[in-house]
Amino acid sequence: MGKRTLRVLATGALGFGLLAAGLSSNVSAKDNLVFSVGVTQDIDSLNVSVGYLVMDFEIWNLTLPSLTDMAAEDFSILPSMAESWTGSEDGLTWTYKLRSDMKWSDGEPMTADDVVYTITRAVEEGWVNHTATLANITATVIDARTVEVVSAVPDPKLPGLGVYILPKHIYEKISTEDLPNYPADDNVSGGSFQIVERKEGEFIRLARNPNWWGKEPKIDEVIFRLYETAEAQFNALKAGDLDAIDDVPVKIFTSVAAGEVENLIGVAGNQGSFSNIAINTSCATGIGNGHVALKDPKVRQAINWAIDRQLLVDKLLNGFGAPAMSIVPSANPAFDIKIDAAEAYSYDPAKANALLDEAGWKDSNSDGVRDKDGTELKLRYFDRSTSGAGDTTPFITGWLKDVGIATDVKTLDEDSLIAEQSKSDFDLYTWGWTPYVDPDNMLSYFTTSQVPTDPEVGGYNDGNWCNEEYDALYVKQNAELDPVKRAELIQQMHRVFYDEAPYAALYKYDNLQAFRSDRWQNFTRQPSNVGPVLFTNTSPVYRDLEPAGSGGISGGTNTMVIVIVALAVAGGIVVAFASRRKKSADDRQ
Amino acid sequence: MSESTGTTFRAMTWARRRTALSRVWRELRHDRPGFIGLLLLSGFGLFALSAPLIADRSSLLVASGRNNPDLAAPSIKFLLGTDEIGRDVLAQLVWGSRVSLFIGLFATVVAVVIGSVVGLAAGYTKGKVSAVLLAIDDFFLVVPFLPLAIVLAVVLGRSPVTLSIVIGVTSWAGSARLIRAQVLTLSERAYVERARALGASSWHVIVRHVLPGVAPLIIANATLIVPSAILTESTLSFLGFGDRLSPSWGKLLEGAQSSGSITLNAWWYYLPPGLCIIGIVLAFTLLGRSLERIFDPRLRGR
Repeated sequence: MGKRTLRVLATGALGFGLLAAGLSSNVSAKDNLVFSVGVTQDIDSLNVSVGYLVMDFEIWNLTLPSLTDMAAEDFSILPSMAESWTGSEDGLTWTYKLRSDMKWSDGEPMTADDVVYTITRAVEEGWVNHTATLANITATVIDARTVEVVSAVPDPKLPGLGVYILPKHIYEKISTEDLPNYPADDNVSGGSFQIVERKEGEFIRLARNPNWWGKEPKIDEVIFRLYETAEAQFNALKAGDLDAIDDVPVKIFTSVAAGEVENLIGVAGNQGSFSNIAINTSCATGIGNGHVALKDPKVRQAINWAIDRQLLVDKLLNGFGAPAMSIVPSANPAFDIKIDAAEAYSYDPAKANALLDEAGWKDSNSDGVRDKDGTELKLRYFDRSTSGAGDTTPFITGWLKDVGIATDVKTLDEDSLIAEQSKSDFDLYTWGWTPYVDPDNMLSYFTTSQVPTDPEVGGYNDGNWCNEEYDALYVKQNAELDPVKRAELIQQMHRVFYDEAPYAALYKYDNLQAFRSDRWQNFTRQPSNVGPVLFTNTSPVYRDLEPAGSGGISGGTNTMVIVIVALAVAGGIVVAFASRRKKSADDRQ
Repeated sequence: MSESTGTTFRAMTWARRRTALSRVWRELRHDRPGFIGLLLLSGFGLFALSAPLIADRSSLLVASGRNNPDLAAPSIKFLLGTDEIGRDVLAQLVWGSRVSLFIGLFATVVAVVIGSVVGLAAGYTKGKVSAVLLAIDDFFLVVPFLPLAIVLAVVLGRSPVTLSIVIGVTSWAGSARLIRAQVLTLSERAYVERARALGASSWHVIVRHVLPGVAPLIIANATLIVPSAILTESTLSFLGFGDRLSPSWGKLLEGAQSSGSITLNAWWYYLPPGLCIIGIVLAFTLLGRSLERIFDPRLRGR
């Protein structure tokens, strides 16, 4: 017993020593600046053709180049691999001129070949992260420094072309069959950083890429450390083991944002993430069994009026978010729905009741649930088991009950939920989206062609909603090259979506992030003022970060750290020695 | 004639049971840990029963915190403060005790019924049937319990009843083993052999002679399953696999943990449910151990 206690002490002291040593290298060695980020989500896959988590994108943003970049302020198109470009009259053909000084981290030249190879292969093989952007695009090599891109239809996204470009000399050795299982462990980088070490489930370490040709970062290394819980991660940040974290628990974030926690600053950034309830409108598809009441837009509007969005924002988000009236199609708030406050959905149970009465759903048998022609207004409500995702459920089921709509709640994991959605086998279900920068993708999900008709294939249109007006507007905006006119068309689409209500959009929520302001400065947000710092669309922060203050770190801290290390090591030695003596005494017995 | 003998027999049986019961009560009263356990348990029972007197059910509704401060410290209005959405913690604690107790007891019934049936059958039968039952029992003994419970909870759904069944189904294996061992020793006893020699059917022997013999053991064992069932429910709720719509102590802890109340020093949120879980587990364990001592003469004097 005694022996075990001693051992624990010894390892404890040793661990403390290591920790202190890590800290000292963090602050004292000016020639090796390490930026440690805490995350609660592990990498899914580093392989661009299959990965899909935000963590994967963050690594790709650091290690893979793209033809064009996006400005941190407003997502406007910036040169990257391409230093200039020219477009044809009809806007269908774009010619990109590449920089001449580009190399991959292994020294191989980076040329037009890499660009065209990646685009062509991504289109042929249908890579998940490339197809949306490249659907109508073909690329050809003009010379080593010139790429010609042709779009089959007018494309308002061009000349912006931000897809990740891969090193041809690595990927041409990997066949189509092998690619989905390729772990992407070649570590050849064309971005500002390159992967140097990875332990799955623990951390991934990246160092500055010496061959990077863009803006040189001031930090030398970035480490992403995985934590089990958001709270543990926050405490690591507070203790100084980390420099930045994503996913701060909202109540804790409130105290950080109020400046109550020394040396920390909080950033509540939004890039369009929103939560919603999909309402199965049962558009005729041959599959599915949504409740008959939900085919009536009045009933769907009633559901929208029954929900107190502001209370959800106040209580669940502590104010770090905003009520949502329609889908949020873009990370850029310029594309949000514009609607008068007087008209917008607010908490109005009386109005919800009136609409339901109008639609003919009345409580004829006085059981507290509305009915019509012998059918009760009882809806299957599927909620997502992801932590936090179901917090809205008890609120919303309560409000629906108040207006005479009964619910039968079932909690499912995301895969099962998608399966039910693909079969259209639900009435209501909770979900959420984080849109791209260009609104096209998000808008396309609600066109009739995206309604699932085969459970094996599924479809994005999870309201099973068909609307000819919306479809026509979608096609129009997709080919409208004038940004002002396109924005108008998108507002019209919002209006149709709002009136038809295939969704009860709930709220936009912020990403809550916290940083060590005593160590770092220049926390670039994307987009400026409203966006987050970590996990943004193009991750500019890692190139902009600087150590805090020009004076550097005072000698006092260093001495303190050295003293702590010395004490810990001495303690460790003494304890280890005591433990060994005890051990030999045991052995002798 | 035969009828009158029947009633006499019945009266005798009842008299015997009464004396046995009063003996148990007497011994329990003098067994200090067991008596403390019983007192604690009665306290929790009263607490659960008095829920409607302490807090209105409507204060469990999520929207009930609309005008209350979030994570407010205990005050006259909220004796145990409020949670992260402004709800009264005391209301959730007292109503949650019902859910926790219900799941604990119902899960135990499920586990004991399965465990007794399998234990009796495996102990009384010989050959293949027994071997197969034992193999199933072994499987449930060695299979990692929590992952199995989580998988079942996900598949079967999350109402208190299904959760009880999930917990019961995953925690009967130990008692089946225990009961089988007791059945094996009982079946070799002279009175069982005599009954068999007189032509009693297996059913008669099991129900009339073996079952009464193992009943005390089953009761003592059940008392020890309750706390583990309550703990399992709390664990499942804490991990987010519980019933989201009914309050339980585990769910309170989960809420406290995910809202960061430990970092924020909101002790009124996580301490009471934690202490309640410890208290009720302690109560059942003390009582169960003491019943075991009373029913099993071999454990006496230890």
